[in-house]
Amino acid sequence: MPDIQLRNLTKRFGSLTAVDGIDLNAEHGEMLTLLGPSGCGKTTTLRMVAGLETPDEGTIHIGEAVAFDGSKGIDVPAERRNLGMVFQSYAIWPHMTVFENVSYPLRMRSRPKKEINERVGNVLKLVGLDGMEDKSATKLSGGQQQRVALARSLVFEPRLLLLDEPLSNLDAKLREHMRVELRVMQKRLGVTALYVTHDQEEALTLSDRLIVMNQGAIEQIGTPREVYECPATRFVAEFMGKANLLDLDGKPEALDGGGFAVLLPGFNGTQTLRLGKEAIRTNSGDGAHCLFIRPEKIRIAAPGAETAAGEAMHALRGKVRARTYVGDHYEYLVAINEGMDLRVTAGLDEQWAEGAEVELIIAGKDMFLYA
Amino acid sequence: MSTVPRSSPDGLGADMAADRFDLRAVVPFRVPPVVFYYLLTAVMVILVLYPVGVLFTASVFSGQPGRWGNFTLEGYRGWLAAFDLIPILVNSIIFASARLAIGLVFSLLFAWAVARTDVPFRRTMTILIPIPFFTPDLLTGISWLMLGNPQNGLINQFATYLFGVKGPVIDLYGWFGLIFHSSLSTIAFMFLMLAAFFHTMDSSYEEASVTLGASKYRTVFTITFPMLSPAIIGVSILVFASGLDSFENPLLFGNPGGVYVFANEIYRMLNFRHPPQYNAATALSVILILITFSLVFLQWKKLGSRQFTVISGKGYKPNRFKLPRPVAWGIFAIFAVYFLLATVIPLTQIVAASFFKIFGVYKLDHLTLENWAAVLDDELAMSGLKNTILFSTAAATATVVIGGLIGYIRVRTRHWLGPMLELLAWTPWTLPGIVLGLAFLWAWALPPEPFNLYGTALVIILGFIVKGLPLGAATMQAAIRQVSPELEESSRVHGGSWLATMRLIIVPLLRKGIFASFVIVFALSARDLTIPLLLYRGGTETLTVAMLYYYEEGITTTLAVIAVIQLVLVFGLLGLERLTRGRQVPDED
Ligand SMILES: Nc1ncnc2c1ncn2[C@@H]1O[C@H](COP(=O)(O)OP(=O)(O)O)[C@@H](O)[C@H]1O
Ligand SMILES: [Mg+2]
Repeated sequence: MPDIQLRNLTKRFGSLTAVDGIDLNAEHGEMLTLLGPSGCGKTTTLRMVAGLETPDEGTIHIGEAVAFDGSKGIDVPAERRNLGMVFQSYAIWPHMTVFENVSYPLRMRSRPKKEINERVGNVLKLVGLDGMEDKSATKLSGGQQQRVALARSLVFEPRLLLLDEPLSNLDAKLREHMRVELRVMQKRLGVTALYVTHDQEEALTLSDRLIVMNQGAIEQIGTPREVYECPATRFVAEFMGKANLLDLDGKPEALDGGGFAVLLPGFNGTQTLRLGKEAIRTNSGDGAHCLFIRPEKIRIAAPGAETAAGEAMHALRGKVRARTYVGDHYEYLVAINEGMDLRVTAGLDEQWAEGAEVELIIAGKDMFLYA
Repeated sequence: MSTVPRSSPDGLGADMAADRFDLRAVVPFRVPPVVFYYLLTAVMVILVLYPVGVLFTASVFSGQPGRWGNFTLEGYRGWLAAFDLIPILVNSIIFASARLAIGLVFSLLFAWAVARTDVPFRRTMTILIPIPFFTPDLLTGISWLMLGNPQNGLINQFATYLFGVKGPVIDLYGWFGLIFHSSLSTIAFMFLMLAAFFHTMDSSYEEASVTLGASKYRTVFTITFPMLSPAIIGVSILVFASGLDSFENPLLFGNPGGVYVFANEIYRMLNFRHPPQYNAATALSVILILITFSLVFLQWKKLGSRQFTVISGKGYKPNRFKLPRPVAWGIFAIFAVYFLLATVIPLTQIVAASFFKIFGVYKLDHLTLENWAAVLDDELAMSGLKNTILFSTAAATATVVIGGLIGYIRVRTRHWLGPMLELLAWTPWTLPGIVLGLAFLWAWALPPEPFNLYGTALVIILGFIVKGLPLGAATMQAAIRQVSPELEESSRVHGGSWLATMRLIIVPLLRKGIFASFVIVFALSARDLTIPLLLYRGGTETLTVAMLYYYEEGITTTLAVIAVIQLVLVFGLLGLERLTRGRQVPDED
């Protein structure tokens, strides 16, 4: 039984459909991330799960129970959904001390005093704020506020933790540190977490699975590796990390045996790539097509290396246009034709001079075609 | 799971989850919040629109409160056909314009000097100039009349005694006194409104002008004032409208001098005519509402609700103009004279009068507490004190609640009733006090028992609520705007019920706003004369009614004691509010 089940969840604000009929499951103990550009409906989705926003359509199950089902008139109020939430602004109550903030969920559940003290003590230790109980919330740094918010959402050991861009207000260094801590803590407590972020690096490092959203709809659900390496749509390909997207003039030609031939222009005439049909990531074979390759999936070799590349590999010819040193690697711009550049990342061992003629070696499984 | 530092080996967490969240826990029927919005709107309509509607209707009926009488246009015809309206209108315009002109000159001078120049003691000035706005006009007016009435005003008595002058040297009855005294509080009010704008204006515009070769003084007129002109015009319209609204000054200074403007004319129709001319008074009230409504509407369009911008504690430091010392001290001297006339003289005089046996004979051996002791035994004064505290507290509390709800709906929801409610809370701003009193008189004498509130304490409290709503609700709304909604949502998500969230989060976070709003409405109510004057019956008189009674009876010593009590009441609370709010004056540079 998944811990969260959303079915056809929809929310409209006037004429704007903020969340457009999404379906998802979060398994027990999983860190599930909602990723997408600002305004794509992540927060709205999270707020509907929390009970802070009433969906227009669809159902929400939390564990075995129905939390929302419009057609049955069920709408469990937020305070009865028994979940923890970390808000983007942290929402630490400024008129309370750290202890009062963190103990609030327990006090609302009328737990005995002894238990409250014990649990608050433990959870503060967990987030590294032990001894800070009596500090006024207004005297906390951003990082401390973030920890208090986390402690407050964990202290009553909810089955489910919702986090809305919890790291976005921290400076870069602290953010990276907390990213790791958050993941460790979540796994240790075994809590199911729904995590919202617009930062793809954060999503990749934190999640068990991630969901890429765009304009209120889900583009792809998968493990970070699946999403990064095999983007389901052109949007995901562009949104996640660096990508080469080459617009193709014509349609790929179907080959015997189910493959496709993709024709690219080149300095010495047309170059052909033969791809399996699994490279086609779109339903319709029509329309303008574009070829997607990650810069780090391309290897630069001397001309003539094609034969050595092996069967599953493909080669394109090009000229090095620019080389940039980025510390731990080089970034090259290699033109395969006038006005058609590919970005390539390569190690520091080999250097290719600007203007050098090179061969780009790419595995067939690393190339995709999108409409 | 073994490393989890949880305190509950017994799996308490799971228990909590189970008993807090299962299907049976779902409340089967919840009243949708919208129902409360409609209820609140209904309350507001009854409070604000109903009396105005009755007043409009009553203006074409010949009866009196409690009895409609026959349909008639006589009320309007009397004013319009006989041209009786003309002198009232002309007088009102002269009065409102003169007061505005004087107010404008001095408030601009003070606001500019305090905010943009290095005039000495500007911090002190910023605190002292607004005081006359908070001292009730009824009180300072009576005090000035004790000094300057032509028969036995102290100034005139001294002049006769010291220099043998025959006849009065000063006569505050009539135009001079009317304009003189009402200008004093107008300057304070306008300063209060304008100083904020002067303070927040970016000084780089002025510096640019000076860099380009304009003199400092030219810059004031070519840059500073024009840049602030929307604010200045907006405030001016407001002050002009409130000139038409003003009742105490025309009553105290105008009546004996035969100067009648709208407010005291309406009162004259009701109180000095036998039988009272309800029809004429009501028609005149409607005419006045139409005028003030258009003016305030104009002002609203010009300024929006920015007029409530208070000086924030932000450490914004304008670059100050260095004034030549004689000019700087000249401005300070003008302030000193103003402060003397507007605050020191009237307040000293009234406090002194409360401690001397015979009014005006300020010899040390006449010093006494008898006046105070007498007031403690005075039924009218004591009942007035009790009622003022009671009514003002009730009204302030109710206004905070209503204003808070309106502010909440306006700020936190997108429901269409939000703007409606805000507008309703604003409407009384366009209703002069005397008109509001008359409208309430009509409206609440009309319904059958038990809704007939004629002559009850409740009707006065309702009047205070309506009068306090514009400022009270705006203050609450501003406070609510400053509290992030996530602070409430966080409470809900973590298990706080609606009530717990209200009690533990919302109210504590709003306490400053609640207190400020309470104090404002309390002060406005405690100093209000018009509403209780028209609505009181034996037993529901307020301090202001008692004050006017003793003034008209000429019992000056008792009057002075009551005035001091009222002063302490209003200023005590205001002081308290200021203390809790912390420093409000921008940092000195
Ligand atoms: N209360 C609201 N009223 C109207 N529009 C809203 C409201 N909340 C969110 N939206 C709109 O819905 C869309 C999705 O918002 P949100 O879920 O906050 O996006 P994200 O969290 O992905 O940045 C945005 O276009 C936003 O402007
Ligand atoms: Mg968001």
